[in-house]
Amino acid sequence: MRETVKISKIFLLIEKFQKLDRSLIYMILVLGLISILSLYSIDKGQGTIYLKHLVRFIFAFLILIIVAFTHVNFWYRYAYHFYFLILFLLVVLKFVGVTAKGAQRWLDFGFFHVQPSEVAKLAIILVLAKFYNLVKVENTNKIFSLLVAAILILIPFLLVLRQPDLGTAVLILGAALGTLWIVGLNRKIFISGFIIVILCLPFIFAGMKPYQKQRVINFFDKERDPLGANYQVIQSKIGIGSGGIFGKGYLRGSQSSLDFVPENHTDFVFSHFAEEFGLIGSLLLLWLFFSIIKRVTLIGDQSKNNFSKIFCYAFAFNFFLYIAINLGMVTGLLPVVGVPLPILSYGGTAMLTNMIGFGIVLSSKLYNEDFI
Amino acid sequence: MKLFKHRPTEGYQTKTSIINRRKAILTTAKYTFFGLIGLRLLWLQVFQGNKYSILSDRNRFKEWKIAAERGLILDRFNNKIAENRQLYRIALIKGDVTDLDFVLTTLNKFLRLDNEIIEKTKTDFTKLRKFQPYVINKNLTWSEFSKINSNLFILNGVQPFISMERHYNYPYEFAHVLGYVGVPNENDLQNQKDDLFRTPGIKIGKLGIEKILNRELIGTPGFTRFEVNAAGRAVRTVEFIDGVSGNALKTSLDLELQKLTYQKLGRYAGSAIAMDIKTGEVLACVSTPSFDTNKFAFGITQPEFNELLKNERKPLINKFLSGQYSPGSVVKPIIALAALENKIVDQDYTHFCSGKIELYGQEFYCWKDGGHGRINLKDAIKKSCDIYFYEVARLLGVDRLAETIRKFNFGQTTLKDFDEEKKGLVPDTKWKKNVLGKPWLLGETLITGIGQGYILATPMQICKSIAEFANGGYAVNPTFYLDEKSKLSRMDFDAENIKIINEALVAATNEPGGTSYGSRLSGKLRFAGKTGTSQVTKLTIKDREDNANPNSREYKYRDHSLFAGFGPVEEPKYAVAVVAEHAGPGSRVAAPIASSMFDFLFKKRISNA
Repeated sequence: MRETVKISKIFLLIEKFQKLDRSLIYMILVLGLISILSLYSIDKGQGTIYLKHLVRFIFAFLILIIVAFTHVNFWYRYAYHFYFLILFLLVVLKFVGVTAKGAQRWLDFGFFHVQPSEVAKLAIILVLAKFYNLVKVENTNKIFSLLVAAILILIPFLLVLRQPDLGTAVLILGAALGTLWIVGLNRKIFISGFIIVILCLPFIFAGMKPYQKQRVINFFDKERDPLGANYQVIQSKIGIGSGGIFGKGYLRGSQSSLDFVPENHTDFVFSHFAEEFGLIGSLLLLWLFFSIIKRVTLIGDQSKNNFSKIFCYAFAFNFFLYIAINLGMVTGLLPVVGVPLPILSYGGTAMLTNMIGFGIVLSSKLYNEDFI
Repeated sequence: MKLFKHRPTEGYQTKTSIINRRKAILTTAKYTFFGLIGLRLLWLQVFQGNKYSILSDRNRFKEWKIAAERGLILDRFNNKIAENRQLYRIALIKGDVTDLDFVLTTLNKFLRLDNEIIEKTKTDFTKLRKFQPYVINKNLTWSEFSKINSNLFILNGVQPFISMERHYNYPYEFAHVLGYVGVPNENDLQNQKDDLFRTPGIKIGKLGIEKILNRELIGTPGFTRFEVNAAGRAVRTVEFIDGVSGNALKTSLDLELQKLTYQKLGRYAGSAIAMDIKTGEVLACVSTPSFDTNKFAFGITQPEFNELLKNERKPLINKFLSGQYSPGSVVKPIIALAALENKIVDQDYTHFCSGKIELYGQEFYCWKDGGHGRINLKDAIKKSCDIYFYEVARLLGVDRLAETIRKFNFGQTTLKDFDEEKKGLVPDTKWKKNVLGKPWLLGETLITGIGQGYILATPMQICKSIAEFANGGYAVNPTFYLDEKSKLSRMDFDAENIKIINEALVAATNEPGGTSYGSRLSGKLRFAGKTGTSQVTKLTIKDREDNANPNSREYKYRDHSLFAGFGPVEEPKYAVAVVAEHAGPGSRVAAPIASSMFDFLFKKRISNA
C-alpha cells in the first residue's frame, strides 16, 4: 500500500509538472535573461550588480516554483494573516527601518534587506481577492463592504505614503482600485471618487514633499532645469532616442554605461535596453510584457474559482501598472515616480514579490479545477 | 444581515460574469496604453532619433586640443633665432588628487618648489573644474623628472608630461623685434572669434613678430577625442589626431649683425637699425637695454616685471619703433633737399656763420663757438652748421619744410603691423593751431630747421629716410621678411638734388672737418652719414659753457646721440641709423657704433659675396 501511495504521489507530481504553465515560465526566464544581460551591459562587465541580480533571480525563481506547487487554497486561507503580517512590518519599519534617500523603506534582516511596501502590493490584492470572494455579489456596493475595503486599502497606502514613497503608494492604490474594478464595484463610485480626487488635487499637492512637488512641476515644464530636476528624464530620452530603429548594439550603449542616466540599474533600466536594441528590441520587449499579462489573464479565465480569477486579473493589472508607469516615466510621458520595471530592474524585494505573484498564478493554473 | 455567504459557490455565476466583463474593459485599457508607449517609442527612436543621437554623442565625447609645435623663426641665413625645446613638466589632475597638501609636500622633497609656486597652485587648484589638469609652473631637470616618475605610486593625480615650449636662442638681442609668447589672458580670449586660443597649454605671441605672425607660427592643434562619463572623467581614448606645427618663418634679420649691434650699443639706452636700401629688408634692429624673453614665455614673476617697469632706461620699450626723438642734425639732409627742391638755394648758396645770430629778439647759436665763417650748402651739411640751416629754414618757412619732411614718411608709421610703433610728429602752422591752439612763432621755424623743437621722429623713420637718399630717391618700405617683394617707386625729387646731398654726406664722414670724420672706415669700402646731437632741454648759457663735459648734467637732460648713414659710398647697399639716448654728441657715440656695423657689413657681407 505504502509503495503505491508513494508511486501515485510521484505520478501526481509528474502530472503537475506537465500541467505547469510552461509558456509563462519561459517568458519569465527570458525576461530574467534580458535583465541580467542588460545589467551586465550597463556596467560593461564591471562590478557585481548583474551577478547579485542573477543570484536573486535564481533564488526568486525557486520560490516561484515552490509557491506554484503550493495549493492556491493556502494563499486563500492565509490571505488575512499575510496582510496583517505586512501591516505589522510596515509599522515596525517606522521604528527600525533603514533610511535611504530620505525615506524609511527597508528592513534590515542582516544578510538581506526587505522592502515591506513592495510586498504590500501583493498583500492588498490577496486580501481584497479573499474579501470579495466572500462578499455576496449583491452586497459588493453596500456601504459596509465598501467601508471594509476602504480600510483595508487605506491603512497600507497611508503607511507607505508616510515613509515617504509616493511611487509604491500609488501602485498600492492602483492595484487596489484595479481589484475593486474587477470585482464589480459600481462605476458611479469610481466616477465620483475620481471627481473627488480631482477636487482634492490642490490639497494633495500642498501636502507633498518638496522633491515630489518639484517632479510634478517638472513634468509640466519639460524645458526647465535641464541639469537639475529634469536631468534624469532628458538623459533617459537621449538614451532611448539615440538607439534609433536598430539600436547601437549590445554593449555599445553609452548613456547609462557612462552614468549620464541616473538610477540606470533600477528605475531607468529600460533606457539602456532601448539604446542598445532600438525600436525593434523595445517593441519586442513590450510584446513580451504584454504576452505575460495576456497569459496571466488567460490563466484567470481558465480558473474555476473566483479567488483565483480575481487574483490573476488583479495581479495582471498590477504588473501592467508597473510597466505602464515605469515606461511612461522613462519615456517622459509621466512624471518621475520611483517605480521599477518588473523583473528587469535591479532590486530584490520587487523581484521576489513579482515571483511570488507569478507563483500564485501558476498555482491557480495547477489547481484550476478545484473550488475553494 | 447576511453580508457573507457561507459557501462561495452561491451566486457564483453572476459574480464570474461581472468579473469577466470588467476584465475585458481593463484589457482594452491595457491595449491602449501599450499602443501609446509603442507610439511614444516610435516618436523618440525614429522621428527624433537623429536629434538624440547627436545629443548622446555630445554627452559622450569630449575633445582635448593639444597645442601644435610653434613654427621656428630663422634669420636670413637660416640660423635659428627662436625654436622649441622639450620641457619636462608635471600636471595635477583635479579629482584624481586625493590630498593636495600631501602631494605638494612630497613634490617639494623632489623638486624644492618655491613657496610662491605652492601657494599659487593651492589657490588656482580650487578654481578648477573636476578632471581639469593644472600645470605646475616649473621646469624639471631630467633627473627630477625621472624621480617623480618612479614615485608616481604615492603621488595620486600627478601627471608628468613632456611638452614643446618656445625657446629664444638670443633672448636679449631679439627681444623687441621677435617679441615673446605667453599664456593668453582674458583679453586675448575675448578678441578671438574661434576657440583656438582656448587650446590647453597654448602660448600665443604677445609682442613683435611673434604676435603679428601668430597665426602662421601657431600651427593647427591636434586633438584627442575621449569618451567621458557623466562626471567628466575620461574613460577611454577614441582617437588621436596629430596637429600640424606652425610654418618656419624666415626673417630678413642677420643674426651676426644683430649680435654685434647689441654688443656695440652695450650700456647705452638706445636703438640701432640696419636696412637694405633697395628692398627695405631690415638686417638688424636692436633696442637697449633689453630683457630676457625666455622669462616672459614662462610667466615672469611680479618683482622681476616691476623691476623692468621701474628701470628709467625703459627696457620694455621698443625704442626703434616707439622711441620718438628730436632728430637733430640728422634731419639736415632733408631740410637741404627741401630748400633745393623749392629752389630757395642752390648748391653754391653761401651764408655767413658767426656762431650765433639774433632774430626775432632771441639768440640762436651754432653748435660751434665762433662759427664756421662763410659756408656753402655742402660744407654746411658736412660740418653741420646750424646757422646756415636756420637761414635755410627761415627762407623756406615751416610749411614747405614740413611738406618735404612728410614725403619721407615722418609723422606716419613705416610698418603696418606693429601696434607699438609711434608716428613721430611733423609740425607746421596748421598743426600748431589745431592741436596747441597757438599761432606759429618764427623762431620755431628756425629750430625745426636743425631738427629741434616740436619735430619728432623714430629711428625707423630716420633709417628709412637715409636709405631713400642712398638709393637715389626711391621710396623704401621697411620689412622684417624676405618673401615680400617691395617695389621701388620714385619719390618726386630731382635726382640731381639728391646727388648733391649724398656727396655732402660722403664728405661729412670722409673728409677732414666732417662731423663723423673720426669714425670713417679707412678700407676700400667707405660709408657716409650725418651725425645728430639732439637736445632734450633748452640749454642755458652755463650749459653751453659746460658743453665740453656733457656728463655734468643729470642723465635725463643729457643730449641724445644720433647717426644716420649709408654705405658703401661707391655703390650704396645698406643704411644704418643709431640713436643712443642721453649719450652726448652724435659724433662721439652714435657714429662709432654705426661705423662698426658698416665695418662688419663691408667685411663679412660684401667682401665674401
